[in-house]
Amino acid sequence: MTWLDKHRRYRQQLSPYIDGRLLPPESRALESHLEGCLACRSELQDLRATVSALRDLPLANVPRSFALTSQQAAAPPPRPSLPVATAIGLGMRLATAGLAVALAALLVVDLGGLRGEGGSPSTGQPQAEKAAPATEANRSVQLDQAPSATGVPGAVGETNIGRTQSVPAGGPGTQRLEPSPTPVAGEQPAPSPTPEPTATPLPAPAAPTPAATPFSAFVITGTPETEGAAARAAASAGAGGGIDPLRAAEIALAVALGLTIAAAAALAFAARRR
Amino acid sequence: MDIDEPTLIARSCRGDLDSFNRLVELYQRQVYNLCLRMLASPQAAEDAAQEAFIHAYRSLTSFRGGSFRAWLLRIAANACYDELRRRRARPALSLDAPVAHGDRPLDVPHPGPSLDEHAQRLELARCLQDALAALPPDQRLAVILCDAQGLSYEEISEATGVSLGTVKSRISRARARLRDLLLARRELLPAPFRPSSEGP
Repeated sequence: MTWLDKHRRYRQQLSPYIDGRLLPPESRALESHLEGCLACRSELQDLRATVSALRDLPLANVPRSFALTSQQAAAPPPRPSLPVATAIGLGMRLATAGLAVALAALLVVDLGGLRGEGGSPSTGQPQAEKAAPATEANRSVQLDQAPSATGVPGAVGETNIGRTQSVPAGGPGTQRLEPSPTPVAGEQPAPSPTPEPTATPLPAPAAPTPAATPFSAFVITGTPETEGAAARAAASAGAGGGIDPLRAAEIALAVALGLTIAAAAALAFAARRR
Repeated sequence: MDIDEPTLIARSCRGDLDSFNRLVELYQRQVYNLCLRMLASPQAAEDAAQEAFIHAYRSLTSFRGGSFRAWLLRIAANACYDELRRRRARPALSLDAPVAHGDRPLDVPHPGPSLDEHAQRLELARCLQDALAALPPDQRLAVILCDAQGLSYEEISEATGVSLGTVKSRISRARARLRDLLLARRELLPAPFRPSSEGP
């Protein structure tokens, strides 16, 4: 600690020292410092004079009695600003909790492969297989590193949020295609409860198919698992159109969650300023 | 007949207005002075104090024990904050205005035989009131409750709803700021107050 920092720390202790709120060791250390520091002694003296003046402020007499009349006692309560704020705050918290639970449930269903869409070979793959939209965003599937817009913790949430953020084709900061994080996928036989690849209804790609779709140009890594995932995603993208309803629901819930969190924080800040 | 405070509170909670008014008599001077120091206006302080007591009577069921004084002063502080917010919504009225010229002068008890001393005390009180008005409301409330009202840090924490650490910090900063403001007007202050000339 520099001399300046130590000096500042002692000065911050002067006020509680006046009130006898320092611990004995702190008091002794401060008193020891005061013996050798003229500036701090001077400041202590000034603070004591200020406190003394405040304590000597005469109490004004009341201009009248504030006893309530029967009429005042029966009057409607004043503006219930505090109770209303409390009710709104509670509502916001409950809404936030509900949205978080709903989003978590959807993510569990999605990533746990519980949708019954033919399953996926491993935990690293499902995103690619389930993504339908014919956009490059679908390619950015293995996205644990994706920043979460709503702060939903865990790779699961980030993965889903990140998927939608990585829209620009191969943009520098986007969630480029990366090897599946549990790319255990690569080693295929991840300890997954789902059946082996060969048991899935989808064709198990034996090799990359570079010319399968226009999107293949954006496959960055050359690992078989990502190329295979990309191919499957392309296939499903070509097969149908529109955003996956589950994905849409996740996005909507995540956005709503973010908004309620922000609103609750703003309400708490406003209440604290009362 | 002297009735203790817990009994008065219990009776008040059951709707006994007379018991509540006895509590009002016990605390009205403290409540009024808190409002006065916060709002720097006798008229505004009177309105805020009355509003605080009405609100307290209607909210008695929310008193869960602990310091009744702290609970009551918290309601009074909220009434002051409401008034300060209303003032901010009407910029024509300055928050830092000293005791309004149109208001009646403060009724301060005469402390002793010396008129000079009395005049000095009034002058010092006026300086302090101006300095208090220059503080942020949170710091103003903390230092008033501590130094002018004599509440402990724990009671202030209860009255303001913030942690002890925050109470300590607000009081410390408020005192330092008041010290600076008073030093700027050193020549107007009575001799007994004169701060140390041994500046850093």
